[in-house]
Amino acid sequence: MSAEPLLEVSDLSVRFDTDEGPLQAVDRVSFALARSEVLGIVGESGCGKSVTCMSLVRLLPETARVSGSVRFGGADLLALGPRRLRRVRGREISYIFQEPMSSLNPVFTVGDQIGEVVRRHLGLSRRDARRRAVELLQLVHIPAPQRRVDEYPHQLSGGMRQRVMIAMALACDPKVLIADEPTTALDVTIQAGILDLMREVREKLGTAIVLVTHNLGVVADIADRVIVMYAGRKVEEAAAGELFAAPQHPYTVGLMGAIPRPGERRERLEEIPGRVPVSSKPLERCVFADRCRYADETTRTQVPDLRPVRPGHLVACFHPEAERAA
Amino acid sequence: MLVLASMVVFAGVRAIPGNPAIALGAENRDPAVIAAVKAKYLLDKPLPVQYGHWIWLALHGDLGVDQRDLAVGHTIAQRLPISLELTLLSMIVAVVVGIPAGVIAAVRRGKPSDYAATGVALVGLSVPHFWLGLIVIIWFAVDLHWLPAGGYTTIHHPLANLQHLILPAVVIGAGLAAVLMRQMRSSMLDSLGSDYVRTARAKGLSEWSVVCKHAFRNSLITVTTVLGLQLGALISGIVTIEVVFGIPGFGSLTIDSIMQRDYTLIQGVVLVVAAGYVIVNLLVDVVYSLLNPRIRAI
Amino acid sequence: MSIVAQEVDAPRVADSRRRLRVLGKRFLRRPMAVAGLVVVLGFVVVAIFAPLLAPYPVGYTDFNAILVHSSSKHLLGTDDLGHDELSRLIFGARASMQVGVLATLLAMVVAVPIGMLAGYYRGWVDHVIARLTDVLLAFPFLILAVGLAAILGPSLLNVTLALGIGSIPGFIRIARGETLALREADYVPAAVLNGANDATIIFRHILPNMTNTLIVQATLTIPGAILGEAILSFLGLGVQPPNTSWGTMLSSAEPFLTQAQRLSVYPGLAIILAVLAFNVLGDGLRDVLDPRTTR
Repeated sequence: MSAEPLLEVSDLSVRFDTDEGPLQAVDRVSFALARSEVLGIVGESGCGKSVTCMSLVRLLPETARVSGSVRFGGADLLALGPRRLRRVRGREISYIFQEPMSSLNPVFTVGDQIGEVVRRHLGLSRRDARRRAVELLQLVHIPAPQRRVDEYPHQLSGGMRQRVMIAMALACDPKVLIADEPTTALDVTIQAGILDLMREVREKLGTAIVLVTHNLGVVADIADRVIVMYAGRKVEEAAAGELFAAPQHPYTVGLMGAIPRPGERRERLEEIPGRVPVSSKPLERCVFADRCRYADETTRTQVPDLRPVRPGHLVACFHPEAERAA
Repeated sequence: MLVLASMVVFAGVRAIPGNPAIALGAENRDPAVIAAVKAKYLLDKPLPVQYGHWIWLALHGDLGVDQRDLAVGHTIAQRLPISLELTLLSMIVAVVVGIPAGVIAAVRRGKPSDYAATGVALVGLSVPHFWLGLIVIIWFAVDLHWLPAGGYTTIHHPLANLQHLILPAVVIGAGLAAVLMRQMRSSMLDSLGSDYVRTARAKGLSEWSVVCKHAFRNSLITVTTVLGLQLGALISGIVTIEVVFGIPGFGSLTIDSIMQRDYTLIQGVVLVVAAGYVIVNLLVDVVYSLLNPRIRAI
Repeated sequence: MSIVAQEVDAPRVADSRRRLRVLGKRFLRRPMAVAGLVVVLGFVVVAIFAPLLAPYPVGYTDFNAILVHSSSKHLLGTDDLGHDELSRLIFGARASMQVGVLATLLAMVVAVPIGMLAGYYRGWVDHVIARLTDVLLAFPFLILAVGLAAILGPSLLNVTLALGIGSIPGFIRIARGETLALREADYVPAAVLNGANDATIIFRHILPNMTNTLIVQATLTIPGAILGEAILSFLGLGVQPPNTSWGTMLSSAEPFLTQAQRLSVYPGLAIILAVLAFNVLGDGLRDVLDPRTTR
């Protein structure tokens, strides 16, 4: 890994105050992102991966209590004033959301919405902004960009809309692109196209990407490094190849058991029994204990710290695969 | 739509007890006059024929004559502009007060200004127009002598005209503003919580641009439809307020015609209301399609 | 989505009590709504026990105290005929509550079956009913009520009828819309597969699921009827003396606007308080019962 990370997250915690009491969504998560790196964050829905990402640029509702720090370009994004934060959003760090259907404003044209970003951050004129919008649409492989630029979101298909979202995110040539389940809402055939596009973006523009997904296949396809989250915690982190070759946390192993693999005949896919726990405060035990087949007294009374089992491979488990096999 | 409405009007008016020929002939009980009236309105023919005859005349601009032998069409033409002016003024009051209040309340949700605006709007919804009219008459006209207590001056004396209409317009506008404010607040809250507003924030747009461009434009769409549905409430307000302030407009004409059981007048008045409803709905549709590209495209 | 999924199973009796408790808890967390409920109940008690609570009986005139200010004998003073203002307010509450509740009930009883019929069977039945509703909605509620009151003649009963009939179109529209939406719900085809007939579906599956919406609509229609009564009585089409309503009180107070403003102020405040309480209660109930419109 390069010496100076582009983005460095330390001890990020997010709590929501709900009607039913406080809810710990993210619990002391730390990670770093290098230049041009693709970092995958995986986990089941509700594990806090989206919340983690949204808190990076403070897009969470006001009920969220965020603590920790997010270092980026010499500043802590969590402590930045609103004005300076807005100069980072959309220009240095941009965001692609899961729902291309509802994430575009239905009453403005595609060109308006893309142009808006460059007009705000780069001070382009209306005419130049439009030209840039056409360029960007071309970049994300939308056919007939001259015509599409004046269309409204409802006139585009889901895959096209997601391409528009990506075009919008790339408008100011950002250093970091956060893609929150960018393919989940799309048809399988279209998903591959969007992933190809993201890979292309990284290669052409050198944009670092944080890719959030519950789909390990997607991560295997494109990520350099992977973080596995469970119940608001980071339970494992490793280079993608390493993780798939030798998963350490029983949860990661379980997740992989749940992916169908071509060429492999199995009676049924394995599922992980139980549910993700919802906690109101940080637990004083391993969060996975209730669902873990190796759970014992230690697991139920102490919190496992993240520790390296191999170089660059962190896991928060008392009984990682490597040690059990030995 | 208009046809159905006119049929209902006609049937409804005929349901009022009493002999229409006598009512139409007014105090004149001369059998010859009554016979003439009967002949003119085909009153001895079955109802559908009478209806057809009435519509035929109405389409030619003849709404018949009322109990005092005045042409209904002419009376309405005299009274309607007064009410339209009042409507316009009330709408201005309502929009100028209600829309910004709703936006501010939504943006400052849960803060004191939200509670204040929401509370005032709730009270505004609960106050009877006519009572508020009485109260402002007491304050501004009787106690303070700032403005006239009622009556009307024609538009040819603009200042006096405005002096007469400003209190009623504020009273009607206040009720409407309350409705608008509540609607605006709730649809702004919807918009502000939407995915596209989150996108706008993620783009680094200013809060002004997020609220006043992205959220506001979408909220206006729902508010426009609601505004169209408020026509009934608006007319009710105009009717009572014209009575309270003694303004000789279309509203007081409506009440007078009903009170005096003046059949032709009632028919004419209600036909105008129904036509107004149709026109307003058309206008709302036009504005709606201008605001909403999903409709425009079709 | 998860909420919808849970509701696919038609609500079971065992669950209903717990559900009620949850709803009750949610309701109690809204102080405004609770305040509204308290005031509404207060007015209901006053309305029911009016003869016991009022210091003077209906129509009692004190010729020695005409247009007097408040005193120990007449707490809120008297009007131009020597009627005790407080007693009139109390009996007025009775008239207003009666009109509000009965008119709403009348509208509901007539409109809900019609609306459900239209929404359930669709086709030409729906078409005719929907068209007619649109036409009736085109007439401002008030003009409709004034017209009906003029046809029927002024009395408390007729005001109730007029306002009830005037509220029918709105209820039809709601019942129809709800039925249209509910018959598309997943449990309807499921019930059909289980051999349920139309009546079973309508009464077991659709009606119970729209009660929440109907309760909310009713709570918001009552204040409209109370306001309507006030307007009709003010115009002289409502309750006739010696009977009293808040509207008649305002009507009879109008000539004394300059001499005795309190005669206009008290009944007005009573109307505002009652209507406000119902509105607040209705808003609260909607928040609690109708999760789709949570704001």
